[in-house]
Amino acid sequence: MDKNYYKILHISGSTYNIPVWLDNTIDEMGVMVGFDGNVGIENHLCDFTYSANTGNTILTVFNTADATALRSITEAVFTLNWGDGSSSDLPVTDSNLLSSATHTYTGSGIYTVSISLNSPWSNQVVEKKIALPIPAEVYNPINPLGTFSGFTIPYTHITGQTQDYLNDLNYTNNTGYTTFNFMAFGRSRVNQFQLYGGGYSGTTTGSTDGGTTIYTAYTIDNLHYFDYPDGITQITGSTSDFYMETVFNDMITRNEHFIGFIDDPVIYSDVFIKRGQQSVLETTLRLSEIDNNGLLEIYGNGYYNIQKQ
Amino acid sequence: MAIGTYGVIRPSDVSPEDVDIFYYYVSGLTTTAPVTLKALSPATILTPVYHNSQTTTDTVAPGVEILGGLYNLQLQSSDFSEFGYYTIHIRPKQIRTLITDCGILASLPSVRGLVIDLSNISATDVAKFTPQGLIGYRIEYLDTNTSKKIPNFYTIVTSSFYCQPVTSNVSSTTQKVIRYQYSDAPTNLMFLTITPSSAPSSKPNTVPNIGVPNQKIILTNTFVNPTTIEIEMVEYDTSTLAYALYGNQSKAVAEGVYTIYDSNNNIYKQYNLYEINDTYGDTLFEIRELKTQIDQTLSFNSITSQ
Repeated sequence: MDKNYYKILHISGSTYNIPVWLDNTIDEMGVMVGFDGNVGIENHLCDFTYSANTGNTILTVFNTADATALRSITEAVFTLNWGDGSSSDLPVTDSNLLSSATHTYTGSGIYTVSISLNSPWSNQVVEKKIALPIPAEVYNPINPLGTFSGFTIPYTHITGQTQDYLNDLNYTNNTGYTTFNFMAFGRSRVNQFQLYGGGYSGTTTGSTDGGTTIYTAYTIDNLHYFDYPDGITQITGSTSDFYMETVFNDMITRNEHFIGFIDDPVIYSDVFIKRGQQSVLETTLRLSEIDNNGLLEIYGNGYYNIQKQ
Repeated sequence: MAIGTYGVIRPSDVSPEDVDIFYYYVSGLTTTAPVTLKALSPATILTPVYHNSQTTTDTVAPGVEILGGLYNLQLQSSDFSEFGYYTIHIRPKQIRTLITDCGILASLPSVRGLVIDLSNISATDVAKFTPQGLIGYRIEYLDTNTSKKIPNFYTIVTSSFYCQPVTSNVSSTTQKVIRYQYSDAPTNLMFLTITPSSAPSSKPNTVPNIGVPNQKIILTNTFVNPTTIEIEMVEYDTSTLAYALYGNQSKAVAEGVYTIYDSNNNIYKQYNLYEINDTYGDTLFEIRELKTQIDQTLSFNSITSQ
């Protein structure tokens, strides 16, 4: 179809019309992707957060996909499965605001909410179990000591039970008991009352030792706090869902080096020469810090037979 | 695996605005005169041929859709006024600019590319710099020292997006570097990924040269294959020669005017016929001389209707 030569009769004042054939050679450039296979850091592409008002079953989910990274990924589709058979789309936004979707459940329960990323290069799913309605935050000061009776220290018996948990180490007699009262020492939380303004309306005072030691008592999160003037806070409460936990403790040992079997001259810096200090001003040197015969003789305490030349 | 053949040549549907047209003239193929190129306006003289009702059964395509491949080139005789050879060169349009930066994407550090400042692009070409609008463009490079085009070296644009610079921490140091992130909103910078830009797996430390900042480049579309057309401007062709051989003729004996008519009996050529005699009245020469002032009274129809 190429015709690249024309012979034209010259005619002044005329316009010559020449047919031209233009073609284009095509080539396959392959599939273009946003990266060439050397991705150093995996982007946070698929995840979500959620929120709900206390007491109701309206859940709002926010797509926390890295919108900056996704700007080059126009094919990404995020689908939100609410866990009750319904689903929603969570589009990728260009702004810094997270896209969100809201769903109202018909009843309370534990729902498995999942977000799925469908793209040509990756399919990801993130699931979270969400209990609805979300309970109110437990922070309700009540009359201290009103629901908890003190007990004798040392406290070794379960309230209402006869088992001695200090002596019955295997808890073999505790089968079936899921609630334990306990006592611990910790940090005061009385300052948290300041969040409510005014004075410590939820606190009361009492005394022990015949009235000589006055404590401040209050209750937060169903834990009973006793602040003593010496800075100690006694905390009592009740456990729930008791399970036996087995703990293995390993012995902590030093590295042991056997002098006499050294094939190569190796200096171990953590070998100390045991001897009695003759003065509080005398420092304890490591073996590697002994750099003259005098120190070696002193620290050898007669153990080394030093021949002076 | 499928086994088959496929064609690699397609009729071009390039827009006239995407081509350059140059031409030069030589009086003959033996001339040694230097070539002097002149430019023509493609938008004015190159016209695509569109579908009509004969070429397609589609009711919308006629007059709207480019047929493909076929174009009409309109040449003005004032531009081709000499007898001789004209060489017309049609090639994809070139856009000259410079590399603002050779950068990487902040979110995908393995992706290298060229950053083009659109303020350096002419107003007539900047409209081509759209997201993914430069795919397939060829980039040729000018030597930074000699400003000559580096021969036999080019890269191909594989993607183009608006971008904006961001500062990023470098994981190995406490320094910050300028990197780029794509922007859906139009910006003044465009990030071009090109191929080849990654090192071969057999020698991963050898990264191909994609240019350096401030290096001048030439962007060329690949919508059409360059082509050359040779035009020979002639005084006579076979038709006009046929007038002389087979056309109607007349000879006004008294005036001594010899007239040759074309196929429509229009006066094509007119000659004066006379003799040159010596002082004794003997004929030395019989002359036929081209008559520049055409005697219209000798039209074929007026003569034969007498």
